[in-house]
Amino acid sequence: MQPFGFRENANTCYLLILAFTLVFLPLLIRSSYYLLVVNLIGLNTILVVGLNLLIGYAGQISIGHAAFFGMGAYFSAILTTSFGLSVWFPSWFPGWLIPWVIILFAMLFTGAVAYLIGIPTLKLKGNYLVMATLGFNIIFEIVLVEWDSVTGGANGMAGVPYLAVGDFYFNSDLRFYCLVWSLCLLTLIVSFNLVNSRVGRAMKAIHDSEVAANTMGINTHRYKVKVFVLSAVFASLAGSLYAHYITVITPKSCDIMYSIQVVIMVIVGGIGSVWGSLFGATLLILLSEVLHVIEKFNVVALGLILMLVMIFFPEGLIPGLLKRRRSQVQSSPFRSRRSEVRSQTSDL
Amino acid sequence: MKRAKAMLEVANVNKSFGGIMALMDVSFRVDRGTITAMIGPNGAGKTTLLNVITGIYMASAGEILFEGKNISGIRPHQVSYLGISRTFQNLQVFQNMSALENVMVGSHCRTSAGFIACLARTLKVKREEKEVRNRAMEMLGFVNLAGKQNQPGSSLPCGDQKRLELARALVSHPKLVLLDEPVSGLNNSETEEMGDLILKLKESGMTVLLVEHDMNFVMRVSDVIVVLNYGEKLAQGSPAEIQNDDMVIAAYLGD
Amino acid sequence: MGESKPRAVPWKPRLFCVMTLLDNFSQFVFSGLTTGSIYALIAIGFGVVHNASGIMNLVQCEFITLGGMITATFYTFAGIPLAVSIPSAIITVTLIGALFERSAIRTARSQQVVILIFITIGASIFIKGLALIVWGSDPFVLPPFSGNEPIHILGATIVPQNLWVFAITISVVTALHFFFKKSITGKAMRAACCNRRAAALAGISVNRMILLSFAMSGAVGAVAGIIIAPITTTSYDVGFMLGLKGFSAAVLGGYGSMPGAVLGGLLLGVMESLAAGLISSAYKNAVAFIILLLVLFIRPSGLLGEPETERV
Repeated sequence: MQPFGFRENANTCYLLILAFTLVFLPLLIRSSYYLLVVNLIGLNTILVVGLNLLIGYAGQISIGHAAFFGMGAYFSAILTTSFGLSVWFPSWFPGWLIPWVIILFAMLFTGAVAYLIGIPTLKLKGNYLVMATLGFNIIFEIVLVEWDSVTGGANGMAGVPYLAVGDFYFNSDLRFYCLVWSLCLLTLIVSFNLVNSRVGRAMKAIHDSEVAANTMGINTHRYKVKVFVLSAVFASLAGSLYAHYITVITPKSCDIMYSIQVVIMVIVGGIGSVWGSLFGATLLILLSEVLHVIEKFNVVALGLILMLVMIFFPEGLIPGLLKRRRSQVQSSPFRSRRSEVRSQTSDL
Repeated sequence: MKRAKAMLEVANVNKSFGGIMALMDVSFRVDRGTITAMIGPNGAGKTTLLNVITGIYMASAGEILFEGKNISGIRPHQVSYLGISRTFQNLQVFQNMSALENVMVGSHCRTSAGFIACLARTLKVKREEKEVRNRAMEMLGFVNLAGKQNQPGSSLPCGDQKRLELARALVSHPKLVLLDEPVSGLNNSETEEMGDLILKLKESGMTVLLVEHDMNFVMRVSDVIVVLNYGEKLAQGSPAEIQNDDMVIAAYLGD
Repeated sequence: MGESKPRAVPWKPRLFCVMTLLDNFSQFVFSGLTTGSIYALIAIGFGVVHNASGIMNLVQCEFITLGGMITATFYTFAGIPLAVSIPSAIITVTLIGALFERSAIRTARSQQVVILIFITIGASIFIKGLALIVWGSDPFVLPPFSGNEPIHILGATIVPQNLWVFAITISVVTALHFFFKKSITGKAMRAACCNRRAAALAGISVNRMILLSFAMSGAVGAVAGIIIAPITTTSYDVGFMLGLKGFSAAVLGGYGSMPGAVLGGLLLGVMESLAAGLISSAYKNAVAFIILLLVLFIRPSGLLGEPETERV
């Protein structure tokens, strides 16, 4: 959870520090490979922040978010490569703007899909929700592989154009760096806005006690669906940006392993902490880059991390470590929910 | 327009859980501006009745009338919009939120900022936020929790949590407050403090329906007492009448 | 997965098609029942753990892989005869199941169901990764338990291994049925599932029951992985899809119900095989998951499960 005393002003301050660091970071990083890694961190942070709102604030777990990422990526890739879309736009409409419009449509489309799935899915209890989202992701993967006339099958799609503003193309790592991190900052800002608002409080309330939240007039199911849609939209944005950056997209980049990987980012960084999403994405991307040489070990390491963190720090790695340092006994967000459920059943 | 004298009317309410009758044909009235207490041994159906009123359970039969309107079958999240709010027997303070945030959630049904407006933090949202915050601070002051607004709900002692729940229930300007065992687990001075607060509520014109085991407390605050036993209404009357009712005495002391 | 002969017969309304269609139909049903038996076993594995502990144990997928792969290792590399390597593989996986419960599940700080699921997901990925490192990505072959002579039944052609699958599934299900209905330990496990506290008060060690359930699900999963291996070959990731489909079968039948697991497994196997044969084999793997979502949306308690009643 958001640590107490971690107030809005502090967040504004940290955001400014982050923005300041981001301005100077490219001066320190000369190699374009490192810049690529930093860009991947930014892309993942956009997705993870959304997922963290869902997991940490609304208390709903999804291991299907790679599918929403893939939806954004494929939507952008298919519409900018296979279809002569410019015919659909009036002649005065600048060509460079079209991919941006498509990104927006991808977000709308993904949001709509998430809405339709979310309504029945979010009525399910924790463990079934996990499996339903997992099932959805697998179906999505199969469709990507099998519907090869449109999606390019297992080979995916190549030649996605770079984004551009006028004649300025985001075709280098540095240029994309500016784009992705501006959007990432924007994501962080709107997430903080949301968390410290009526809606954010309602979400936290749902997490802590659904019965009480309901009594306060919070339509718990509707809020869960809305957060689900929001997180899917963030994932879609990250996916579209990814497609336009790497210019190649394959089913492997939105498979179930990626879904699990982003959940691990949330868990490592801290469940229910917006900043934690940034840390989690950073740590995991760095780790997978270090282990990139031996990809086999990456999977083993991911499994081990997920297992160990969940065994020893059920509230998340970074919050868990911080807490241990403070040696303060405080219940984890998950545990409090459990005790709440227990006390409810004993009461009613 | 003539205003009905009854704030809440429970009419022939039945509730069964798979064959077990938790409430049988319960009827009574809560008059405007009064404090009504429900008493009865454990398992008499008091909390079940509160859950029926607030829509957590559906009544198997019978009606709940609020200000003359039938509200049976209402969804739990709609109840607060009508002006009914409640506290819980086992504390349901939002553990991971500060005391202030807890009370601010109580204003949920009196505010309207939407999802997208909150993402963008529009001027309207900011203004509303400020109002809600001030009102919540005021309420914390009312329940003698001023100065504790930044403490997480989980770190407050039981007595404070009880009063925090009260503040959270009051912040939305309800017409009717349902209190489920407001003083269970409290010591004498805390009980007295809670009693004072509840009497203050009555002075300000609010209607209260409460469930409590502490007889001294019930006798002190309530105007009307309803006695439930095994899901049935046993008696109803003023504290003095109830104290001298043979059936009530029998139910409490055993035949 | 279960088709002994991949037949891509595009369905077109032709006059002479009726006979072929019927033959094909029974072929599809038989191969569906074979994979369905495997799903049923896996679904039982999920159910056993769920009933004792309320956990969705996704390591079940890896039990299947390990069963097949360890047998193949013993048989191919160590040259141990099947009759010995199969039981030793089952015992090994049983021990792994128990070890996992003792080391990971019991030490977990939070016993919340969602946290425990993630522990099992983590362990599952971990084991799968290790399997890839140890065995590589090439498939392994196990010989059929007896002969390869095709048998013709009702217009379908099946191999003896299909019969082995049916026979072993039936014996496992019967054995488990009697275990839960008749033996003291089985009754104790059921009691621990109904009401932990009451079971503990009656002198049942709930922890031991959970340990036992993991061991049992390990054994059942290993059996499933071994008996299917001669038909489909086995590899480091074979358990992933099989396990998740077994899970879908469990949900379809009613999660935690043993007759439900058998019914759900067979039904899913047949539906999958028919969909692959009559409609399109491309989306064969999706069938199980579409069914999973539909069941969860429409009737989360499954065909034979009891719908959750209002909490009292």
